[in-house]
Amino acid sequence: MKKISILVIIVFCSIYTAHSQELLLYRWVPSDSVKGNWGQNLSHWMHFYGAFGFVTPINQNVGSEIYFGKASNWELGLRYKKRITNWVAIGGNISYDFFNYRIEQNTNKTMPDTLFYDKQKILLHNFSLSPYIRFNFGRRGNKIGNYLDLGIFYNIVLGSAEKQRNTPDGLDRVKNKNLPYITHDYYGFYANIGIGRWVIYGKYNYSAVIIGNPIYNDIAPLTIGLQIGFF
Amino acid sequence: MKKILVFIFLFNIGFSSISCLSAQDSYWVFFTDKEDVVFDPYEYFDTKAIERRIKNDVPINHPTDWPLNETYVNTVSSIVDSISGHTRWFNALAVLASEEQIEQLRNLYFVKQIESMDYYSVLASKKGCDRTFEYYNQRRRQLDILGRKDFEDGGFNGKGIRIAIFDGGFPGVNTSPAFEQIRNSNRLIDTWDFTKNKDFVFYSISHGTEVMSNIGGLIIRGNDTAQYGLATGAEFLLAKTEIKREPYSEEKNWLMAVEWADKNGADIINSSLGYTKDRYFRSDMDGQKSLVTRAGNMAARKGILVVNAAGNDGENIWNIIGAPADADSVLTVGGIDPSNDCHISFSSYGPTADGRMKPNVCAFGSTIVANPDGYEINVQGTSFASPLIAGFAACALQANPNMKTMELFLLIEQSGHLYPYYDYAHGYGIPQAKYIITKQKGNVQKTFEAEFNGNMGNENLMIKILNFTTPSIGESSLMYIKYIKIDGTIGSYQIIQVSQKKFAMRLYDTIEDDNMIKVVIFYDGYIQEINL
Repeated sequence: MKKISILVIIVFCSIYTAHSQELLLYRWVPSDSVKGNWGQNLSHWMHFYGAFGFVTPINQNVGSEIYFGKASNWELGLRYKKRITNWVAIGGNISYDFFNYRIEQNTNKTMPDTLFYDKQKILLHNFSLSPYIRFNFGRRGNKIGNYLDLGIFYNIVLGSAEKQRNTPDGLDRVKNKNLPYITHDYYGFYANIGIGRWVIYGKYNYSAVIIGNPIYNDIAPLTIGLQIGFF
Repeated sequence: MKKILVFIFLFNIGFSSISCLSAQDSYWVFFTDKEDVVFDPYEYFDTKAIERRIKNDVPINHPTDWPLNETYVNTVSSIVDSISGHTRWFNALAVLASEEQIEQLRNLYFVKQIESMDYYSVLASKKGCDRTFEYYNQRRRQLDILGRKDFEDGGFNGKGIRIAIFDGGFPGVNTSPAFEQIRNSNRLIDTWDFTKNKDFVFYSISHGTEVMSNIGGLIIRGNDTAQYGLATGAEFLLAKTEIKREPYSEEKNWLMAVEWADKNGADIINSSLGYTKDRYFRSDMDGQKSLVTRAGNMAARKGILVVNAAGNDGENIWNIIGAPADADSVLTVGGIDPSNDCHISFSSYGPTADGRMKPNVCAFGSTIVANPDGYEINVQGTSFASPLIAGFAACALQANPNMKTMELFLLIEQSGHLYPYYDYAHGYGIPQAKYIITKQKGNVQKTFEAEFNGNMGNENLMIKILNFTTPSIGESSLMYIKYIKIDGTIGSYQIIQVSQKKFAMRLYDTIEDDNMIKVVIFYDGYIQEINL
C-alpha cells in the first residue's frame, strides 16, 4: 500500500512538472511540408457544396408546364476533383438533389390531373451521382480558378410526392406519396461555369422523369442555378 | 434532337462567357538584347544611387540598368493594344494583348520569351484588432524591444538613409502631424502611383500611412512625444503599388517600383506584400520561381536592402511565406505577439520550399500606429513588423555607413536576440540595437542545465534553470527548443513559457523519429545541444 502511495505521488508530481510550463508554440516540420497531394489545384481536392436553382420553362411540354420562379431545385453534395494537368481535371459528385416542381394551373394541364388548385407541386428526392470533366482557364497557383465542368448525372429517385392545396373537393391540403408516374431513376447532362467557389450550373434531364401514363407529358427538363463550394 | 440543341446552346453560353473573360490579357514580353541603346548613369540615377553603387562595389554602368531598345519597344507597341510598363532589369515590356497578337510577337526575332501575367492577391493587409492594449506602453515596447534607447543614445535615427515604401496608399502623409517633421525638413523625396501613373499617392487605403508611421512616425505635442518607428530622421520615397487593402494587384507594379526606388537612390525598401496561392504553389516558394523574388534578389545585388513582411498566412492552408519573402537576399520579417513575445498566430512560417530558413528576424506583429488623422490605433499583421525592422535597418546603416548591404543584412541577423539559435517562426529573433553598435553580445553565461532522464521510449528532458526568478506579470521567460534532423534541418521546434526552476519534458514522440539527431535549447542567451 505504501509503495502504491509513493508511486501515485511520483506519477502525480511528474505529470505536474511536465505540464506546468505553458507551451506557446509547437511546430512539426515534415520534409514534404511544401508539397502534398491535397489542395485546390493539387492532385486531389474534395469539398462540400450547396446549390439552389430554378426549373426553367425552356423546352417544357404542354400539359405539364411548371410555374417559373416557384419551381426550384436544392442540392447538397460532396465534390471530388482529380487533377490531370493544370488545365484539365476529372471528378465526380455525390449529392442529395431535391426538386420542387410547382405545376402551372392552366387549361392545358393534364399532368398529374386536369383539376385546378391554388397550389400543386411534385416533389422529388434524389440521390445523385455525377461524374464530370473540368476545363480550367487562366494561369493560377493552388487555386480552383475559372473553369467549365461538363458532366452527366444519374439520379435515383428516393421518394416522390404530390402536394395539393385548396383542393376543389374542400380539403385544404392533400399529399400523395410514391407517385406511380415518376420514374425510379433518370439521367441527363450538366454544365458548371465556376469562378472560385461560385458556380452557375445548368442541368438537363435527358431521360423522362414522368412515365407510366401515356397522356402525361414530361416535366420541364432544364434547371439553372447558383452553387457555392464550401472550402 | 431539340434537347441536344438546347444543351449545346447552354454550353456555348458557358464557353463564350469564359472566353470573353480571357480574350485579352497582360503579358511580359522579354527581349533578347539591348543593342544600340544609349545610357548615361549620371543622368539617370540620383546621386545617392551612384553613391550606394560605389559603396557596394556595384558597377555604375551595368546592362541591367540600360533602357530597353526603342526599336523593339516601338515594334511591339505597333502590334499590341497597349503597353502598361517595362522593366530594365529583366529587359521586358508589360503589354495588354490578345492571343493572336501574342502569336505575332513570338515570331519577332528579338523576343526571347513571353509570360502571362495574371492578377494575383497580395498580403498588404492588416487584421482587425480583437484585443485592447495600453497603447502608450505598447508603442514604447514595440521600439524598446529593438533597443530604441541604444540607437537614441548613439544619435541614430536613420538620418541620411533613404527608405522606399511600396504599399496601397498613403492618405494623410501630406497632412498628418505624425509626418510633419518629415514634410518640414523636405525628407519626402519623391512619390509615384504605379497603379495610375501619376505622382499623387496621398489617397486610397491607409495601410501605407500606417506602415510609414512604424518606420518614421513622430508626433510632438508640447512636452509629449509619441514615436512610432525608429527612423524618424530618414528620407522617404513612396510608391503606391497596390489597389486596395486585400487587393488583386500585379507583380508588374512591384517590379517597376523597385527599379524606380533604385533609380531614386533608395537604401532600403519596405514591402508589406506577398504573392501566394493565386499564382503559385507552396513548392514554388524556392527563391527562384517568381519574378518579384528574382527582382528582390536583384535589388540586393544593386545594394538595396529589401525588407519584406513574412505574410499573414500562418493560420491558413498556405501557411508559409510568400514571394518575394522567399528570396534569399530579402530580409523577411515575421511577427511576434506583444503579450508574450512569441510568434503571433497569423505570421507565416518558414522554411522556404528548398529548406532555407525564413523568416530572418521578427518584430511585433501587433503595433501602435498613427492613422491618417494622427490618432493612435492598434493594427495587426506582419505588414507592421516589417516597417519596424526597416526603421531599425535605417538606424543600423547610419551607425555603419560604410557597411555593404549584405554585410548589413548579416549584421541584423546576428543582432537577433536568439542568434545563433533560429527557428522557422522567429528566424534569429528580435534584432538588438546594442549589437549593431557594439558588435558584441556580452558574456554568455550558463542559464540552465538540461539532460536526459528515463527509459528508452519514455525519455524525459530534465531542465534546471539556474538563478531562477519568477517572471513578473507581463515579463516573458521563454525557452526555445528545436530538434535537428540528420540533414541538419529542423524537424520540429517549440517554445515554452518557463515558470518553474525545475521541470521535465517528455520527448518520446520526437525520439521515435530516427531522423532526429539532436536537440538544441535556447534560454536567456545560453544554448545547449544534446545528442539523441
